[in-house]
Amino acid sequence: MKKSLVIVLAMLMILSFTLTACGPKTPAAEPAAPAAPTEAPKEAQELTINLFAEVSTLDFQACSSSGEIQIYNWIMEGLTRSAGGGSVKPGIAEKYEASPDGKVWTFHLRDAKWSDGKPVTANDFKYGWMRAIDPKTPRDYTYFLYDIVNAEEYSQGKATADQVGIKVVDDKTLEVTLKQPVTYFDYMTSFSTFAPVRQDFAEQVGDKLNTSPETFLSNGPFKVESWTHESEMVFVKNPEYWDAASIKLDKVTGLMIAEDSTEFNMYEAGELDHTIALNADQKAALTKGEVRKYSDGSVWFIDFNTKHKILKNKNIRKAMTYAIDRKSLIENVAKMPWVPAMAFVQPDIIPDADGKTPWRNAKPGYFKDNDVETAKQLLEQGMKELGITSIPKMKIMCNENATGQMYAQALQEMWKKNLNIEVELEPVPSSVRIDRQQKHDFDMSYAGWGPDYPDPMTDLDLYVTGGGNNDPDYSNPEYDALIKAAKAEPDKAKKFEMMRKAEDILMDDMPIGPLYFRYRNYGVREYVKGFERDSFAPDIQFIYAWIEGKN
Amino acid sequence: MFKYILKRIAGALVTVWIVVSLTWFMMQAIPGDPFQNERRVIPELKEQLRKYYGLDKPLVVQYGVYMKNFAQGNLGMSFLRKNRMVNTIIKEGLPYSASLGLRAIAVGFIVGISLGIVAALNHNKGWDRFSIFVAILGVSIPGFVIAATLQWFLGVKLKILPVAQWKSFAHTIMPTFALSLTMIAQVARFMRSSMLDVIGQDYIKTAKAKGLSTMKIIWSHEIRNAILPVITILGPWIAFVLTGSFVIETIFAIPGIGKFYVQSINAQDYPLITGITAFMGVLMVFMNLLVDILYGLIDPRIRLDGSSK
Repeated sequence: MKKSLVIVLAMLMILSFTLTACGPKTPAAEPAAPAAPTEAPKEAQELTINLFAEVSTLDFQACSSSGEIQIYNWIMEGLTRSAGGGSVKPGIAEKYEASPDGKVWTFHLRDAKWSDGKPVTANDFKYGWMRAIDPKTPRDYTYFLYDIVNAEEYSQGKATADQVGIKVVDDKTLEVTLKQPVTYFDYMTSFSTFAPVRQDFAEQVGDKLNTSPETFLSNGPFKVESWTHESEMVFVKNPEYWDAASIKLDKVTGLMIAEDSTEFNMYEAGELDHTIALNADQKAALTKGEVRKYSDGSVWFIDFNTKHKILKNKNIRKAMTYAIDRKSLIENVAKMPWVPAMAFVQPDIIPDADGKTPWRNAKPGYFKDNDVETAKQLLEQGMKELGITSIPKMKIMCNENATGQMYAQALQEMWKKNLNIEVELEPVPSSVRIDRQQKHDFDMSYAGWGPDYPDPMTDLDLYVTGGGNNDPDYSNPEYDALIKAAKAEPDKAKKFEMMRKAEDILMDDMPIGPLYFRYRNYGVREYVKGFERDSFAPDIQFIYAWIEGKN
Repeated sequence: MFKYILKRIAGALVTVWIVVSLTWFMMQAIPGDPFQNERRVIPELKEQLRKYYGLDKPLVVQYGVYMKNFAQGNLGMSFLRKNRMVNTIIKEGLPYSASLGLRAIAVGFIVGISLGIVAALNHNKGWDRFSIFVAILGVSIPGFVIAATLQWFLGVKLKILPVAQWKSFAHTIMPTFALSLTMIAQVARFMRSSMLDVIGQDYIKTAKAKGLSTMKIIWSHEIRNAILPVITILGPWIAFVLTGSFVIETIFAIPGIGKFYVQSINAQDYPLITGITAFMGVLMVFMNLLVDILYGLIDPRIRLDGSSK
């Protein structure tokens, strides 16, 4: 027995020696900067933010999550740059114009440099875009370029590279030919899939591209100084950026804090300058900085399986939707700053044809919240149409986490109380939920959607017959025709009129029952100026921010 | 002797093969695939992606490819961290997890043993009750509650320790304590009952009758004998060290490998989950093998075939 003690202790010691040898190394402390000789001390222009988690990839053509697109926006610049609120402004392209039929876009590049001092050219864009559709390396967002002539064909090996509608006219001019007019193409070019990549550098680093500080080449406001995987990324100002004069921050540290209570504690302890979100308790307990609210862009709803024996009836779908008390769900159950949704397209963030007024303003909602009376009538009518006298038990699929089940439970109670309909909860892991939604293997499902670009089409496009995200398996030829016509329509006013009609149809057929538009509270320190959150990726916008009044 | 070692190694290889194969096939049984997303990938593209990653081939072929690479020490590319090898992820994360775990074991063992001794020597008195109180606390309060409370109290209120991350010694204190609390509780209880058992033995009476000093009796007779059974629970705790803690690593934002156990399953990252499980499996089997061989060397009575008498 004593021998075993000795063995175990010996093992422990060996193990500890081995592990200390390869233990995490803390970087040696940097020598203190010499004190500024004269003048009042300038405030350190340093910001510490929360990145939430390690990104999946920073191969820009493969980026798809909001965290990845954020970082792209900080260290890179496309032809255009996201300017918040879903608008864009000229980026590396000084100016650009579309042909009258909206199919040929010409971008004129300004004098801009990469972080190694070499110029950014039209060919860098072509090379990056061709990477995105390279048939040898498919990526999630390859289809973002499918509006370009022959891009889809090339990515599937059905066309050659020189047939793709991306033309380098000269070093400073890029001409893009589209299959159909895309009125928001300048918005698309701000997206990371459309990133420029310099051929010589990419070939030199190979598949290590953008995986460690030395394999990044930046043409944006900041560049990557260090990257400790799963822990933190440090960005510093890029002096070669063409608009470096407008950038005030010298250093931004992005920590990866996934736990929201930890994030809150770090914020309160002064280790973070902002929080990604605040729940109701945290909002009340916050003692530093201020609480701000923004729309995270998402709309939440119930997917009704339109092929289900009961839910195939639109009056029953409507009854289920009208009988929900959204206000109570938001205020009493979720306790979040959300807004009841009685329509599909998000308020505030999606502009109408004039590009300014929110689309939602013209028609805030299609029905009343918690309209139990109408719901009962519709239910009765629907049952008559189906020739049934009672509604059999149905199921609602939801995420298995605590909040997912809690919200679905609230709906379950409302349906029981208001319509006397029994609904059973089906909690599943999100990967299973997505898989089953896609296969239309559910009665009802609790789902959400966030916009890709500031145009109602980002939402409405979902429900065309056979669409990849058409989980309810909805099909209405009239709806399909309107969406198709709107996409091909170069006249913005006419296009928006068609989309309006499409939303009318969707809300009358109700394959989805809208629940709420999600807004979030977050904390930010009072000395951080010019820091914003946006409903469209990139969410966190700090490139023009500065620190004032911290000391 | 040589034959004994060979047999053990053969047994270890079979165990590793079973662990890896089971994990691999179980991951395939989960519905869905790694390329699904709330934002659907268009079907043609999904097919291209599956082909690119070799997921379009029959399962048996995929398994063969995986095992071939595995035998060469290549655990494949992660899906969750697209441009990183599973080998790299483990290599970078393991030192953090292991460092945290070893600290927690050292603290848990030393504090637990001390608490148990003090409790036994003060049987049914204040110290005894205190140690029972700590034991109940440690077993019943979940790690994340302790962690969050510590963060708020020591980090936010008193500002004496950093709230999270793993950068300096100060950063390691709270996570180490949070992780070791359960162990302190368990070890203290074991040590206490073991000590009480020993104290009642005849040889202690003999020692007293011989006129040995109290300190000498406690040290050479009571503690030395009582600690042996406690060693047996160290085994499972060593396993704990190596695997990292999902909860503590997440709360304190420590870049270890503990969190991948949950994340890689949710993301259906077959290479990552299989790689991590396989790595742990190999490590455990290797540790066991080493112990067995040492046993064999030290104690000639232990032989697998029982031949050498």
